[in-house]
Amino acid sequence: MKYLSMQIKRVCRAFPAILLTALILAGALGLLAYLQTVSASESEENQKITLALVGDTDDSYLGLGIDLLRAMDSSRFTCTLIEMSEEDAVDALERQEIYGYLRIPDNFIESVVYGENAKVTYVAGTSQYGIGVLLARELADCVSILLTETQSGIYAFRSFSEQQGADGDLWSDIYDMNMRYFQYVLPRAELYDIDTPDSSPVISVQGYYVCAALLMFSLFLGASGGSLFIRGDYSLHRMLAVRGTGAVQQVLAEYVSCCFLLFLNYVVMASAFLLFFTGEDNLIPELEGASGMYLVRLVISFSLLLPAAGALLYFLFQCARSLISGMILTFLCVIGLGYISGCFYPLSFFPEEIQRAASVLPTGILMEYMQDVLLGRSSGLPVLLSVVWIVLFVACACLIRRRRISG
Amino acid sequence: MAKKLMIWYALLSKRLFVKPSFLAILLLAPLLTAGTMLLADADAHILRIAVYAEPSTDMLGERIIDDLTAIDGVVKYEPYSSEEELRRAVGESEADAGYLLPAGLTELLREYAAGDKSGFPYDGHLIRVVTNRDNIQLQLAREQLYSVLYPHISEMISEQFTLEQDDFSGMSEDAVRRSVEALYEQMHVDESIFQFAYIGEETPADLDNISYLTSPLRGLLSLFVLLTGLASSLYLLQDRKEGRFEWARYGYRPVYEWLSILSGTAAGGAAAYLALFFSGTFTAWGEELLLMILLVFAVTGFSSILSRIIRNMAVFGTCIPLVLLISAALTPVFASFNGVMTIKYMLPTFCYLNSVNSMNYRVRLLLYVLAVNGLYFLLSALRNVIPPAGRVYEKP
Amino acid sequence: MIQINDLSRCFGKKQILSSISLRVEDGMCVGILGQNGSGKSTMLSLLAGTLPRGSGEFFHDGTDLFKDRKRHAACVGYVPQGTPLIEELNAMDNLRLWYSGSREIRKELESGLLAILGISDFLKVPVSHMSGGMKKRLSIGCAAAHHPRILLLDEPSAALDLICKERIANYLRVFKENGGIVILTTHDIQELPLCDVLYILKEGRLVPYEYDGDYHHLAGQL
Repeated sequence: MKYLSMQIKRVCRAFPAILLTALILAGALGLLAYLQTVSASESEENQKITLALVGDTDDSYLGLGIDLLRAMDSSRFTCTLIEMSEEDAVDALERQEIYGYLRIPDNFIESVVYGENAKVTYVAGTSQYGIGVLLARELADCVSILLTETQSGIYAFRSFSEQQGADGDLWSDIYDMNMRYFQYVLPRAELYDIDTPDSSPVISVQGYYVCAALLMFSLFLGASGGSLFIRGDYSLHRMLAVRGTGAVQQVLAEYVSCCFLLFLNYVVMASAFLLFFTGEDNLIPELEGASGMYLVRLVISFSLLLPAAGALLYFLFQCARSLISGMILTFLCVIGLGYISGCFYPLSFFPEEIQRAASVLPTGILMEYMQDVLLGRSSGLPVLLSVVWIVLFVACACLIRRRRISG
Repeated sequence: MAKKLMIWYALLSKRLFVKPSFLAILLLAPLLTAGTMLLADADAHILRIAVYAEPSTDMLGERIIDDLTAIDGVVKYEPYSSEEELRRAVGESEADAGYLLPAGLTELLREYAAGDKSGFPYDGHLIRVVTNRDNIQLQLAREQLYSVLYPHISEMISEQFTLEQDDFSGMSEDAVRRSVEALYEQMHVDESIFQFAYIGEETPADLDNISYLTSPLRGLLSLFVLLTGLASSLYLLQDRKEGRFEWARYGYRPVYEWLSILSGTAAGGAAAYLALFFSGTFTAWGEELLLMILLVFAVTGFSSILSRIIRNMAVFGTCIPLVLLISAALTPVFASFNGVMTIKYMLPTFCYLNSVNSMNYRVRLLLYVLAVNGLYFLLSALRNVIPPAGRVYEKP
Repeated sequence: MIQINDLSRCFGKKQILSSISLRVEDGMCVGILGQNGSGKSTMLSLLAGTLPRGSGEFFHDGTDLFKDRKRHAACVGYVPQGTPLIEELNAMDNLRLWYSGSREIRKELESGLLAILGISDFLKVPVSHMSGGMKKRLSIGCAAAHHPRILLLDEPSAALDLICKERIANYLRVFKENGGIVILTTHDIQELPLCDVLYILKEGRLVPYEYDGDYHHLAGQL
């Protein structure tokens, strides 16, 4: 007990400085998450990817097409097209004001008309490809099919007319045919009937990323306590062992104080959470209409995070012998586990084998648990698996401590 | 003096590498990267769409399903054998959405091309989309569905338009349709009219054989280098607390402290460079080496300034996650966001990640290196003028 | 010769040092005695420049070392109570950090201050494996790498064996003979004969003391 109270005192002594920084961290992350969920909400209804059009946009036919896209096509809800020079587009891209730009080659329409099909270049940003560019490529393939198939249809008509000698008013007919195609392509969204079945509730994007942010925040902030728990010299612990406080008692006392540190940080996080994600304009659909008591219960339920995250962090601290190694190891593990548990990309983006592995990893289990709590589902299995991991980590830490004490 | 600095650097690096655990941890970076590359080879998609075509003598529905399942992209299409199974899959989130294709699709499309939508089976719509929640990715998937349907629609529009012309009213419908169909096939172009390039590049980029799972790797490795720099600064704070640099010659102490941070950061940079080689995002070895060297010096300068400003180990330890999370959010590790450019330019990973394809950003990265390191030495020089608060070096 | 005038320092409301003045000629060793917590280490830290002074002057050959930090760094060597060595490196590596080159280190090992301290006995031993005496001798060797004129030692012989103490004492004798000035704090009566002048730091003030061999009297004075 004495050793435990000593460890708690150490944590409390270090905490004011940590608290101040944690408040800044909570504020900064809360603001980032708030901005992100606001933009995510907006993107659900009204996302605007801004693309610039560069190059030969003078052709009236192309201009007509662009105006129609802007006015009528369902993509007007997702995409804004702006014409500008390439120099301005490069500057705007570097300033991240636009997502990318389309470089239309000279005489593009003519090349389409005569079947030469000069290529339109989509210029992506300055960083390397990301998921956005891959999505853009797939969308571009779709657009390309629309254009080339339309072109095939028009050419087939033109060739047929020429073969039949009925090419007197061909250009007027081709114009009419283009309009006909526009009449089918632009309102294509009307072909689909959206039907929502009776189903088990699915977590929203906002809810998912709040869980991810909470988990990563807990782990990262807990990792900052490494300077309190990473040791190179075990003479104190040998002395304690001689006086009857063995490896297990030492480890349990330190583990509890590590959880206590996480708890103090959690109080800060929970306050930020309640501040940013409550109120009339609730950005998390799962919390719409939730009462204050419900939110408090939610915060209490989420606190299972603390012993589990504490066990993982404490185990990693014990594996390291120096501060620098410990910090690098902890952050590598936290980021690595967080990545494959779906804290950055949703878990559904990963191969099935990884999804199955994530369901047994401590971070994956915690993510599943938090989502279950948010959706009001029963969460017995994640709780049980978390307890198993806690016991495993603490047991391994005891073994490591025993080895270190014995020299 | 240069020789002295080299000796310092070598000994400070030796200090780190004497511990096998440090080397093992550094090697985790390339190992984890190689692991992620293996991950990327596996079957991964951002969306799973279930598809079902109602039984029909008309095989168009089945062909549409075959064309969808043949698409090798970020959306996976899985055929289902009944509407009930499809709905169950969507309801239980095994699939993100499901498409129900009606029977007699060819005839429905022909009537549609003739302006008649009365035969559409799903409350006046051609296709029923079953989903729990519509979002932007599902809208993209519907564009993909349309691109599979559209060749058939386009051909029918062409046939219909031809039939409507007075010049061909005397011809038999079948003859017109066959002729137009044959000409349509003849004129068909398979190649995409789009190509992709990075800014400043004239030659198109090859986007085949890349996976979104590995796209954040470069960003994560840059964060790793930033982490080693910050951890080295924490180590330096510990050294300062224990008075290890007190014997440094006058005016050289900031240099020795800077070297101490550089030694750790360079080790991290070397591991990251090796990891980049396995990451699938490696460009040319010379360019990558130059960029990595610049990143190492940028991180060293940045971490040195932080260690100059924050002297409390507990506070510094708490700042590390703050800096890492802000860097992950604001620099293009997972995604790019616009705005807050001032803060972005203060982060060493921002210019590095953007400099892969941009000469402008490489110049900015170089300027950043000069600025942060210059600022650090300026702050140190000011500290020599205004003596710092120190500690009494007494063991408790 | 050094002249310390009106050196003062307080931590919060507590006055640790109160207008301390001291004059030490070349070749002399001054011993500072006092109870634990009396401010001995604080005084040395102030003189070493690791703590900013509240007020005072520290003259050496007419130059105020508190103002001329470059001269201060060149003239003053400081060995704190702890061992500010890099634990992961061996003795030779730690020496290489502070000496100008291997040649100088070899020269000192053969016939210089490092020889007197007996560092060659454990040149390849990592600091983490060294005894307290080895660490202290190595610390003195590193602190004196730039051949200072003034050596400040904070309890140099604490917890050391007799042989180590002898070596350190030999070194300090040689240092004094070469005109150097030593100011050391100590609790060890075996170091008292090494000191030419003794002071007791009590309630922030330096009180001269002459040790006559009566330990009990000394303890009473503290």
